[in-house]
Amino acid sequence: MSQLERMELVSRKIFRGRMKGERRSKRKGQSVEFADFRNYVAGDDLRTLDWNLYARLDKLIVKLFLEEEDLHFYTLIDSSPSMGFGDPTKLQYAKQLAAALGFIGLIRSDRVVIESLGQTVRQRGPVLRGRRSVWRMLDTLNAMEPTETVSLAEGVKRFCLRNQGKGIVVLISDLMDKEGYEAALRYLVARRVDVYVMHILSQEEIDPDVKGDLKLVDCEDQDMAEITVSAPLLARYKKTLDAFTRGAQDFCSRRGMHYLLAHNQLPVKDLMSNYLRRRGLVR
Amino acid sequence: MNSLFRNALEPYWLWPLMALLPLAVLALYFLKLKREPVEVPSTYLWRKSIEDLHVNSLWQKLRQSLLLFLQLLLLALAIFALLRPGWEGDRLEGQRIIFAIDNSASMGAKDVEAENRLAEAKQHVIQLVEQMESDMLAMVISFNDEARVVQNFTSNRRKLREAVEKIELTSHTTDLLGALQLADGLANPGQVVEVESNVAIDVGTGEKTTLYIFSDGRFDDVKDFSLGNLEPQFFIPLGESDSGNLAITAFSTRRNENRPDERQAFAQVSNYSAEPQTAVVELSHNGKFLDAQEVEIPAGDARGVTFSLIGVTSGKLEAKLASSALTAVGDALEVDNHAYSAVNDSATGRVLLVTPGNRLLTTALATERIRRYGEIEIADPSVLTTKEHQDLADSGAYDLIIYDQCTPEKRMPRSNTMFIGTLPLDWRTVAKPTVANDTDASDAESDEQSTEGEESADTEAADDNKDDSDEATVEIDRVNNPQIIDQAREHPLMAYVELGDIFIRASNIVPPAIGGQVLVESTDGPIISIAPREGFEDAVLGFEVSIYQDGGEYPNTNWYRRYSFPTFLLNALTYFVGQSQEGLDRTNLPGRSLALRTKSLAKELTVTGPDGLKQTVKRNADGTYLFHDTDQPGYYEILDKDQVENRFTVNLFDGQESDVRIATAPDDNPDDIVESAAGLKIGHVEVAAQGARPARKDLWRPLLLLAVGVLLFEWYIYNRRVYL
Repeated sequence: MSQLERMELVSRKIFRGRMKGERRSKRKGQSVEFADFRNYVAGDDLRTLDWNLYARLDKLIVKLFLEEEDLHFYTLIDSSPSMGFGDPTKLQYAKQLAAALGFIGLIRSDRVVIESLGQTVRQRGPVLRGRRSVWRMLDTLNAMEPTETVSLAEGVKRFCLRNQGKGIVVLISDLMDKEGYEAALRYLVARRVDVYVMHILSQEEIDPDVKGDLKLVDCEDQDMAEITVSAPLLARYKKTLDAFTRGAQDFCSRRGMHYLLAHNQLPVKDLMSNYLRRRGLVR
Repeated sequence: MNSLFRNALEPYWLWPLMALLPLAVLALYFLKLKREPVEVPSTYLWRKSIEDLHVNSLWQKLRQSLLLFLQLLLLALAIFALLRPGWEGDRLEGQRIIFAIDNSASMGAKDVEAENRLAEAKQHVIQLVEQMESDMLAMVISFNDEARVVQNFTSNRRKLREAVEKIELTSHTTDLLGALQLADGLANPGQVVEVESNVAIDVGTGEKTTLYIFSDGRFDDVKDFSLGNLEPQFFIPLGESDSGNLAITAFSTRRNENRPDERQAFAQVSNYSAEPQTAVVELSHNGKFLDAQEVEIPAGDARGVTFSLIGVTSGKLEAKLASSALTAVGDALEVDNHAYSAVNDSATGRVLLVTPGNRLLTTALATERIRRYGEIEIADPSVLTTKEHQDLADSGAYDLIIYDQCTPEKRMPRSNTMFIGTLPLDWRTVAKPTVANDTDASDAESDEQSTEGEESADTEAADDNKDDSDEATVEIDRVNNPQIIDQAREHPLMAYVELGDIFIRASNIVPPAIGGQVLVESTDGPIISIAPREGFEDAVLGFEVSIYQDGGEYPNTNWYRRYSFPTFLLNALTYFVGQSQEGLDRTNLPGRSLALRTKSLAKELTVTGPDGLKQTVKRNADGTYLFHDTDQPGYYEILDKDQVENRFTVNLFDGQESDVRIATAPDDNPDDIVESAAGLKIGHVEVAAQGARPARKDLWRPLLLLAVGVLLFEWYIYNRRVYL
């Protein structure tokens, strides 16, 4: 909590002002944005008739307006068991990040939705708005445990089914899915939302401290890999990890998604103030 | 005998067991896989990494199982070590082995890889001991001029090793015969009692015993020795045939021939190398530098240098070779680069001539040359009864007492004696009892005791009444006109004494006392003899030179007219007086026991050795002081209550020992550059020198070391996750 309090202070200072571009704030007032005309058909709301045009053309033309939308700020947290590793755990780190981002959203009166991958299609996360929802948001975050064993693609798919609104989607995950992260990300691309992929890795994953003959047990599917730790293996592992992250980055940037690699030793504060700013998520 | 392997796996069923071991390791390697389970977020990346690695799999597999290979290598090394591979050498032969190790002075030569030849020999022996099978018996003998059993027959390798380690270098000369005799005596013992168990083991008599001789061969071939059961196949020469050595082979002091009051030091330097050498001999007195002289020595020859010793009255003289020449020749042996000589206070000897009046004798003793040895006091036989004389005689004040036709009153004096015409007191009891007044009645001339020869010793005196004071056993044969038939020419007393045409009118027959020696033998028996007595010696002339009778003097022999007479007297003075006076100046060989000659009568004396160590020497029952600890060459002082009583030195003056070159065998092929060391001839058996070292080079130790290294390497790889 104290961390979040501090975050609040820090973020308030920084994020005074507008959030990112595509987001149209409803603060612009009640005015509706004109979109198009079409012929009146029976049943249309008479209030939308353009009387001026009727006077001039003697035709019933209906004015169409863009539907008013809130900015949806979705945070999707991967709370699979693999997120429970590291110190602090990757999930913890993800929560902090989500809280920080959400807080910014709340104070900007955006619609902040924080969900985890494991939620079913019907199980919607609470829609939060306004400062006073901070505590609710934190409660939601606190309730998350790294116990959900849903594949990344499935989780994202469910998320997309639950939430049709457009806006910003921040996916916080380690992308460690044997079936690949690509399918999951494609769902998001299809939504044509502004997607941020926060790739969280723990220090142990980046620089494993293991030796000897080991039997590695996957915490999610109990898959076992027998390895004999050796310098070439470690080198190979690092290479693989590198290829993995670069692959993800490539994949994202090709599809207009933003990719950000973070590890659990990097303070959230720094991440917020430096990296995210640079990436343009926050200003 | 030269096989590459010596199997240490005696029962053959051990072989399959050994073969099973690698298989066991392999099985363990594949079965073990007791990998530590570690939970990770995801095996996703790991799997990918492993797959990547598996792509070039064979090599990867090899790399992966490097530990396995290391383990197999380790095992292979261990098994290989068990096979005891080795080369260049014979295995130890025979069931019973005697190692004879030369520890004489020449073994101190430093022309070998080890510290010196002895150390090298010890190494060889220990290597051989290591090869002993459990049913072999071995024994260690060290030999120099005397052989010593260092370790009796045992199969205990540790004991043998310790015994070999204990052998120390001495400064003694070499005598292989002693070692051979000792080995021979021990080669066929009926039984050997093993010390640790105190159980007598019958080792049998017919068994061959292998004799390993480790020496540099600086000794003569052994003749007249039958090897019997000994098989000395291995004579192992140590050292090089081209080693050079400069040695001082003689060092002594003497009076200047021309100026008797002056002393001279004489040193002989030998060059045992193939090149002529220039040596510098440095002389120091009590540690103070006196003089140095350069001497040029042709190869294989010796040259002397003479130093004048003006002002040197007593103390320690040391001659040493300057280091420059030593390095030039590559001096191999150090012990002979120094020589010591003791200079004792040049007190002249005291000689007492007790005679009833003998002009021939006194004249002969009056020469300048003889005077040099000491003051000749002449006394009448009447002094023999005086207390004063008896005290003097008992205190050993005289170096020589000549009893001419008389004998001491009660007991023999504490000095050397010469009896002319009479017998020493103690000879009488041992003298062969003869039938008194025998047929020819020629003699029966009992000695003219204290009475001044009133009983005539004349030819036909034939008075057979014995001396009243003497025991009844005393019977002395007296013969007329004995003809000299033989003389002991090698005895110093008889040096240059020619007794060819000597006429003797009458003489006693003087068979020597126990331990004595006949110097002159006549047709009727010995007429001049010498015998030791309590550290002194008594010489006895059976015939008088001249007989003093009735105030007149009548010659008994024509010897006084010959040159040989004064020569004999001079010899006697040199031998008796010079020996006691300068005898200690002379050098002694290391390791020889020494009867200390001193005028002192103290119960015990202290001897200070070259290393400053003091030793107490007790007086023996016969009044002598026997000193044994002369192993160290150098300068010794005899002290009586902190007073330097006398001095002596111990030196290794032995050309055989100093010549450190290994004798080379006569080569049939002149083109053959490699000279082989000469063999050894024992009796009629030629023992070839073994050029190759008999000690086998065993590999198992390095192999095991290597195995340990592999083990460490394996551990390192396992822990540090490194691959080369």
